[in-house]
Amino acid sequence: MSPKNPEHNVVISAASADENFKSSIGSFISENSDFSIPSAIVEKSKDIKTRLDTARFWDVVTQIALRIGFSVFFGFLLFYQNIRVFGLVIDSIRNGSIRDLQIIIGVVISGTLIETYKISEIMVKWMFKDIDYKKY
Amino acid sequence: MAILSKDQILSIESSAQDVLLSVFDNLDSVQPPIDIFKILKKYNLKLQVGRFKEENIAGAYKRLDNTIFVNSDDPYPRQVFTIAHELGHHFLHNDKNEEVFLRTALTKLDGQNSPQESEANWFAASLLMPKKLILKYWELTHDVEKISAIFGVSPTAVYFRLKNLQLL
Repeated sequence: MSPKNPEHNVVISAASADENFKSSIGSFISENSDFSIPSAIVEKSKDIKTRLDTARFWDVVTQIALRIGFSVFFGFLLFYQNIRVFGLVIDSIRNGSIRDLQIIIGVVISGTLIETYKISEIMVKWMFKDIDYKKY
Repeated sequence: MAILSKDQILSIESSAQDVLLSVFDNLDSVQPPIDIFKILKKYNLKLQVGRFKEENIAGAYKRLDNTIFVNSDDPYPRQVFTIAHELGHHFLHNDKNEEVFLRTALTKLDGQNSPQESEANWFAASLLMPKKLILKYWELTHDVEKISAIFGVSPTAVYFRLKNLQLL
């Protein structure tokens, strides 16, 4: 056989490849037409998906609803409190008692500022923090 | 080393998506783990599960007989990836009449194979771990083990899928 014929070479290599293939699978003894996913794998997958989806549900529905509710509540609370504190200061000026109420007003204003800071901190660090789904 | 071009990747992803669509009708209804047996039935492909003469063979494919062979000694996640890989050859490489998938190739999912093997691996990954679904679960849990349990594939397959999608 002349190796100069490229077509012939292809035939030889194809035949040899077929022989190799047959020898590879020659000892294949069993045949199984059913290849369903094992129930343990399905159950485990379902369990993890359910836990993640539940966590996501709580995040999306509950926490967002809570965030909106708390935001509105704290916003109103801080607004009302500031109005009241400044009202108190203005009333004291009108009554001429600001000098006498200096300590009380100082404490109330400081308290209000600290409260505002703490509420803002709670909102940022707790209410609006990302949920770590890894624990689910 | 075979690195696939962006066009090749898009084409393979689209082929895998088409196969899923043809079997499950609506991609939104596809839930992991993907039932590979449904795909085999849809395309009249026969599956033989048994032992190969050589231990290092994970699977094989013979176009003429429409048959995929898979090693019965392998765990399910490896078997399902092997079948999906052979499906890749079936759908992508019409010129390929026979193929033997070696066990060693399963550990080289990062493209250190021939172009056709890399394409088949990419197809297998996108068939078993559709992009939309893996992105969803990766966003929820950055945990490879959990994602592998969700998709019923090996953590290695998940790791390379995430790496190939540039999420790792």
